[in-house]
Order: sequence, then C-alpha cells, then structure tokens
Amino acid sequence: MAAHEDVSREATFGSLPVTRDERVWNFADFTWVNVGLAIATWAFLVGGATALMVGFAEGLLAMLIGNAIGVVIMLLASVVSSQRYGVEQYTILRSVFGFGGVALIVFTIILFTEMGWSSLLSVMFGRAVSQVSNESLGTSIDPNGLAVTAFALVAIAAAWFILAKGPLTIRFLNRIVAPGLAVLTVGMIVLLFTETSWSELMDAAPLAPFEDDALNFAIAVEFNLGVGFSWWPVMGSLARLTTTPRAAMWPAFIGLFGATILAQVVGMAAALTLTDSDPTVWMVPLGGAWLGVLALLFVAFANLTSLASIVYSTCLALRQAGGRFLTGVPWPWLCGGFFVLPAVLAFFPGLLYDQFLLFVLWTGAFLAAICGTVIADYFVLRNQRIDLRGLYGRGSASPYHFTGGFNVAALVSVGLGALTFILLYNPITLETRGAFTLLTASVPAVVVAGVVHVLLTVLLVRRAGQGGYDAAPGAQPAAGTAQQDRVL
Amino acid sequence: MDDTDRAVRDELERRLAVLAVEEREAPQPAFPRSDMVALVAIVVLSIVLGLIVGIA
Repeated sequence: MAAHEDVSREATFGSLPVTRDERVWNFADFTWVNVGLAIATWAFLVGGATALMVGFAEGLLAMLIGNAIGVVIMLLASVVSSQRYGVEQYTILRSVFGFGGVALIVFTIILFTEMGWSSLLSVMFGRAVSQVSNESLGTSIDPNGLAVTAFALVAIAAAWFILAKGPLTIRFLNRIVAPGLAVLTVGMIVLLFTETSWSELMDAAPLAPFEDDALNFAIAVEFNLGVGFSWWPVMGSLARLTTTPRAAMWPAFIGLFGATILAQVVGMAAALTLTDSDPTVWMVPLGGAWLGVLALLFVAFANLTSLASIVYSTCLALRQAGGRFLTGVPWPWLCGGFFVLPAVLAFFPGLLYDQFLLFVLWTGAFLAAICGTVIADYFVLRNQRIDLRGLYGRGSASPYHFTGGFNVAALVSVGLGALTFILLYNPITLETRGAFTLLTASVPAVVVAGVVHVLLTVLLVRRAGQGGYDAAPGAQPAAGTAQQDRVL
Repeated sequence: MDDTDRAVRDELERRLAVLAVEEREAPQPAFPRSDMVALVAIVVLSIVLGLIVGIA
C-alpha cells in the first residue's frame, strides 16, 4: 500500500471501533510500547528543569509524587474507556464534549500543546547539532543564534519528509530509536555514578531556586504532574488495541511512570552535577568528546522521530475533528500547515526551550481540567457505559449532540478547572496562593472540573434530556434499521 | 454521499455488527474494582507523601 493510501486509510477509518481480532497488544506488548514512548529525549529536559528548583533527594520525591498522581489521573481519563470500547479517544470524547466540543478542544488546547512540543524538539535538535559542531569543528555557535534556527528548520523539514512517507517509516525509525535511547540512558547512568559520588549528588544545590524551599518543592511536584498529564493526547488511541483492561492500564503505568522517571533522574543528576539544565550542554562534559558527540547526534536523530510521531498523531486528530473541511486537504499540506507555527518559533530558540517549565505548567493547567471532566463523565455520570453507535451519529440523532454539537457543561467545567489552576499558581506572574504549596494547582483543578461537571450535568444537561445520561445503554445496542439511518 | 462516505458507513456497520455479536458472547468487562482501588491508593499515598514532605 502506498504511503499516502496508508495515511488516508488510517485518517478515514481510524476513528472506527476495532474488533477483538484487531486487538493485538497483550500485557507484555503494551509494556514495550509504553517503555519506548516514555524513554524520549524530553525526559532529559524534564529532569534538568526539575533540577532548577530542587536538589536530588527532593527532586526524586517530586518526580515520584508528581508523575504517580499525574499518570494515574491521565490514564483513567484516556485509557479505560478507549480500551473497553475499542475506540480512539477523540471519538469517544464526543460523549463528553459533543462533536463540536471535541473539535474546539482539538483545535485549541491539543493543537497548541503539540505545536509547543514540536517547537521544543526542533530547537533541541538545533542545539544538539550546534554543540556537535562546536565540539568537533571548533565553531562557537550561540545557543540562541541563527545557526540553531537553521538547524531547527532542517529538523522540521526532515520531520515533514518522514511524515509524508507515512506511518510505516515512523514505526521503522522508532524501532531503532527506542532501544537506542534505552541504551543511552543506561550508559549515562553508569557514567554518572562512576564519575560522581553519592554524597556529591545529594549535596548538589538546585540551579535556580526561589528562596522558599516549600514553594520550590511544590513547583517541582506541579511540574512533574504536568509531565504526567502531557501524555493524555496520545494514550487512548494506543490503548484501544489492547486485549484487556489490565493489559491497558498497568503497562501504561509501568512505562510512563517507571521508565520516564529513570530517564528523568539521569537528566536531573547530570544537570545538578554539571550545573546546566540543558541536556545538549551537559552531554559532552558527561560523556567526553567522542561519546558525548555520539550521544548528541543520536539525541538529534531521536528528536526527529519523536517530532514526526507527535505531528502524525496530532494531524490525524485534526483531520478527524475537522470533518469534511480537512478531509479534502492533502496529507502533506496538512502536516506542512501544522509546522508553520513551530517554524516561526524556531526563530526564537529560547522562547519555549528556556521556558520549558512554564510551558509544561500552562499545558498542564488545561489537561488537568480536561482529565477531571472526562473522569467525572465516564465513571460518575455514565457508570462506564457509552452508546457506541451514538458516537458515530450525526446531528440531533446522536445522544451526544448536546446543544448544537457542544456540551457547554463540560466546556465550562474545563474552563473553571483551568481557572482554579491559574488562581492557585499563575504561570505568567509566578504568583502563588498559600494553598498551592500544600495542594499544588493541578490536583484542585482536576477536582473542581470534575465536581462542576457533575453538578452542571445533573442540574442542567440531564434535566434537558441531553447527553444520553439517563439511557444507561448496554455496551452494544442492537443494530436496527432506524439506528442505521442515523449513523453518519 | 460520495464513495468514501459510503465505504466508511458500510465499514462502521460491519464493525458494529461484529462487536454486537462479540459483546453478546463475551461482554467486555468494566474496569476492575480492585485495580481502581489500587490506583486510587497510589494517588492518595502520593498526596499524603507530598503533604508530609511539603510541611516538613
């Protein structure tokens, strides 16, 4: 099958439910999928950014606490329903936000989140190649210089080329990159602990902390919560291919919690001992001229495949949420359109890369609120039951049409959840409320979004007879002529 | 309705029919309660640990 046909087929039929024959991942398979996903180059960035606020012991605790809470909440909001119904998550989200509501979420929060990650990865590629040039060719490229911009643009062009080749090329490259990054991570652990004593590591001071230790720890936990939530846009689509609920949940937890933390710890330890949070800076001092340069080259290559993977899943979501308008847009043009903003951001290399912590906090504010709303909807209001056929109905024939295609209650809940986050910790002004140091901002955002969604739904949506909340359908309504008529 | 729409609708109907049979024969289970308890315990323990470290 040609690449464009492969993409076209996935974009066209990818939103349909999978049958049991097509569920190919058991517990072990899905564990490897998640370990491969988790050990990515950005984990080193996360470790380095955590080291800005706290030392090694507090950082390790912040990573364990933040990731444990964030990953569990994120998985409950993505994996469970997609696994049960075999439906990718942006289709299943129609039962929460309505058809138009999903498009609104995808074209705002998801689009800008993934554009931000794309920009980060392309700049990381640019800085990694610049460092290689500085070390091996004796150049002195500035980390915010035009050469970094040029390399970042090369990364974007290369990722676009890989994307245009289709998903098989991405899968092939990931088979090289995932084991390679695992080897790289283990190698760096060995190097770190042979060159640095345990006491040196424990005594290393954080790189740029605030005066208040409790605040530093809370920000580190909050940041790692945001990292846990950041997996949300991709997890449901993967979990639909698993065989059982347990084969979906625990492998995802093992990979995204366990493997991520391993790579993050390497990033944090290296940043603390080599006093720079940027992995493209500390890899050469850590590995020496040859090993360091090789590691940087591999990181640059790995960033290309991560970039392509992110954009592939996002563009598929855009195409499915965009309906007829985007279905007609050729795949290379759609991917090219996605890259416009990351390409513009490449001219300001430090804008997101040096503000990585703030970027994750901002996206975490909205993703936490979405997770709270989705969990309340699926577990509390629907008792884990969704009308599968209704997910594919159009207009008022679908129980998930709500008001003109939008579930206003769910969207308001997300808004209020995000507002709660910003009131507790404003990522722009860095202003915090007293409660933030004890509660963080994400956890209250999840709770507020969930509670508001339940209240608004019970008081307004259910009374209006919208959303199919009273129907409590079985997992598979019987197929019939009348039902067939309303599909699509 | 163009050919693509018709192909998608036919494929959806085929899948819904297969899933209905599969569901009748062996219903897809809800998320296990014991696993949910374990996950909630992880979250609660993490929050308590965070509170202890934060206060300390």
